[in-house]
Amino acid sequence: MNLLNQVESQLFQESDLSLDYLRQSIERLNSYQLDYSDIYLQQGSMEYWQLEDGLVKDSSFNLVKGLGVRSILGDKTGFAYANAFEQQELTNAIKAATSISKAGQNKQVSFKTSVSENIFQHASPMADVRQSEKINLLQDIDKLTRSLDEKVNQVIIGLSAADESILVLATDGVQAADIRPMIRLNITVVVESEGKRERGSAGIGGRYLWPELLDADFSDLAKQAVEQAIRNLDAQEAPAGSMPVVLGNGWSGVLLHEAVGHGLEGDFNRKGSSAYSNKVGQKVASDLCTVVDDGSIKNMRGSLAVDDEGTPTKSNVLIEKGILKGYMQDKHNARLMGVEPTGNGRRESYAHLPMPRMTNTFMLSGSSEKEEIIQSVKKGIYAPNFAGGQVDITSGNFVFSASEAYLIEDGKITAPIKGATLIGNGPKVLQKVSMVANDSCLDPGIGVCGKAGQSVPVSVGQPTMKIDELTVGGTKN
Amino acid sequence: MNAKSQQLTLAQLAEQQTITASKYQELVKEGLLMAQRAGADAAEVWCHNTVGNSIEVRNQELETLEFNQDSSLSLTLYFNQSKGSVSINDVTKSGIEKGVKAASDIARFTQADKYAGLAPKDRMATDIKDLDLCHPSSMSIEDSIEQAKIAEGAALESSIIKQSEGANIYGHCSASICANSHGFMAHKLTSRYSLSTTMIADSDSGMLKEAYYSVGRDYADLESAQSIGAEVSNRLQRRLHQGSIKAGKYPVVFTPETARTIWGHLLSALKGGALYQKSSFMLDKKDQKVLPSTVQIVEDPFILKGFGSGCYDSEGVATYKRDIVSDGILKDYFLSSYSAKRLGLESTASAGGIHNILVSHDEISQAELIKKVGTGLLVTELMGQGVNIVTGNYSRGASGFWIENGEIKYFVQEITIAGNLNDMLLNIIGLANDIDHRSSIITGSMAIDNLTVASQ
Repeated sequence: MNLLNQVESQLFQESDLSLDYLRQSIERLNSYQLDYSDIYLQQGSMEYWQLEDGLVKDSSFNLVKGLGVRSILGDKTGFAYANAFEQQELTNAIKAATSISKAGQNKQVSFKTSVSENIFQHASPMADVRQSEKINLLQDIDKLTRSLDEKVNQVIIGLSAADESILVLATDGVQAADIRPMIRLNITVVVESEGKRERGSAGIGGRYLWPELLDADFSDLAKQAVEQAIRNLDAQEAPAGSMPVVLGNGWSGVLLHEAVGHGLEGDFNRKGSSAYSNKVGQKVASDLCTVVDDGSIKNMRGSLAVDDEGTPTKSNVLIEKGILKGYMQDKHNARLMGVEPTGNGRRESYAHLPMPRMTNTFMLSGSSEKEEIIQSVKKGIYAPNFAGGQVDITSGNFVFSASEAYLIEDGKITAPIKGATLIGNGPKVLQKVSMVANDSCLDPGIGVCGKAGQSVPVSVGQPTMKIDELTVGGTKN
Repeated sequence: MNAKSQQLTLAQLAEQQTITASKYQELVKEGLLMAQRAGADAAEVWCHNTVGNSIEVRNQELETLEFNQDSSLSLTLYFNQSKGSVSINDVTKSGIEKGVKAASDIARFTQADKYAGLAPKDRMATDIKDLDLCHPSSMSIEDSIEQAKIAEGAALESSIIKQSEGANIYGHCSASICANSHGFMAHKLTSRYSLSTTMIADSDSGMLKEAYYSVGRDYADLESAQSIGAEVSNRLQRRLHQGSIKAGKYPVVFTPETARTIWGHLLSALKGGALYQKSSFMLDKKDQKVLPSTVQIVEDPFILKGFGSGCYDSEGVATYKRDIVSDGILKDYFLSSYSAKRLGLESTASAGGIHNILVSHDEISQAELIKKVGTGLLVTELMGQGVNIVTGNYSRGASGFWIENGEIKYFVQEITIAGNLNDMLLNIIGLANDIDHRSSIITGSMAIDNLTVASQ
């Protein structure tokens, strides 16, 4: 059975809706004086298990389903949704969403199913796993973590698995379905020594299933969390001021996500509110920077076979050797800007409007060695781990907060320093990238991106790189 | 716009919510019975429904018209101190059936927790006061669009505005039910309205963005659309004169909007979960001095029209007015019945969140506070996550104004402020009377001495 029919039978088991009915509804929507309309249906479930004090005593289960109808005329959007798969609810939503326009005669739409690569298994990650297996895994990891160091005082382990079936039909003839898995495991530890306490955490995840999760090296993950916490116990005050900063590979890509990514989303650029507006073809970063957003990478957390508008995802070069190549687009903004959608139209759920969003955003490797980058710094900091970031896309100012950082003195990594916020201006900072290593990789699958109140899973990545000057928000002048 | 006749006003929606609330009461009773039949020895059920609309206007044209209709059902079932929780957005009998089944399936596998269970029966709320939280508005969608246009238009009158980022107006009515197998059941109807606008101006350093909003339980309590728009352009105007500062240690004045975030960090550190996990910089600080002796913090759940008002918490425990900090001394934490049991204490009716927090103030204005500071920084915006609740380490991105000789000199951005929250709270040197009521944390401006400021 193809994916479309599989999702149809899954969604409409106890419903008077069908694919045929939805197609007729799209034709009805097409009778209105509108530029575009779509119907999006979503059904998902998530289970979560949490270990604390050595016991798996918290479990929760979440079920969500609903449909959303959107209609667009020029730059006007009408949007309504309902939490039931019923003809009556769909009719009401269509009525409300089309209140920005007038109806006429039904117009035929010829539908074409979006085809895409199989970049993950279309299944529920823990569907056939016995509950006792999950509990045993969490308890094994707990023992392993506690055995690493006697300073470990608290261990909290969370395991979540979700699946989401989506179906989207649009007046442009697109019809697409997908079943998206997501799994995530996270370890948080609190260590205590001589009355001082610190926290450390590490996690992994992605669009894959339980057997792949079991391939992970949990003892390495536990070690990362414990070592991070213990290093922070002895951390010195962080310096305050402008200095060279070396970012580690992988999760430090939070920098790109904030400094570049959001500013290159199509909606901001259509409205001219981004620091990168009207800059396609211009130099916005140093020659060493090539930045890509690619939603089609196998099993990654930010990956999608098709986006939430049914556009297949692909690799989009955003910046090539420092030159801005293009923006990330959904259909609405692409149409108004006269370009093609890029597979970046995403929505948190049926109850949210799609927007241009990132998927997996990363910088390609350069040619330097990590060691030579560290050696090149006389006085600065090395920051391999971050707690997240934020950007003001209009001014271009962004921050990201180091959760693990070290001083670099005379070309050597020396003492650990307390977490500090780094602040810069996106377009200016990327011009100051002076060395890029050959070790680009994506983060382990832990990213969540927030925009206009909507959260979506993303991945980030980058090689080790040096920024000649960045403001470090420590406490030591 | 046509088809307006089919769009209901919020007054009509609120009426529907009253019906929804009584329909939900029946469902909730049924859910508790089903839980009992499934073998649960205790159960809790919550239902929630919000209806309303959200409208975005840009360049004096309607841009987005969104009809909101969200519902959720949450259930927790206990089987001999093993528990399972389920949330589901299908608030129907079949949704509840599915939920009860799923909750009992997982609860059977979770390990017993001797602290798990309902809050004590004798703590359940019995006196459910009317706190004036629901104010249906007779505004139509056209009226709302008009208000958003006025707010945006007022901002656009200023010549410094390069472009509009739009104006947003929303109105929502909610019904919620909370019940448990002690026999507790109560419901709450609330409304919420907001009008905001966001503008962009060009400056020497590039584009600058500024927003302002007003929010209330009653639309009539909102600031006028005209004044909301004017406030945005005034704020942008002040930011056009820019300068830079030298890194160093300075006193910092926080506006009510930014001061609220610092109080938020203190409140997070006082929550039961952070305390029993020993991941709070306020651990073991009860009865100790955590703030200057002039500062009082009170939690008052009974403020009429308050955003954090309610007669019961999410476990049904009766709320009460209490001192959190008296004369600078920490008096109390924020505990659910679970975290209270973990700590050997009593619930403070804080399950599901904090109620209204009132921070005391001195009889001085923000301008007088700035004068008092002399030389330093006024922070109007904070960015990023850099707050460690375990240690109190604080480092965030900021923008605001440089203060010299007690006066605002120029706008500064791309800076950081850093310190440790334990010290910062003790180093508060003044609280102004420019109280902001737009949140459940009710505070004015605040000055903190000796923060490290870094800049380019």
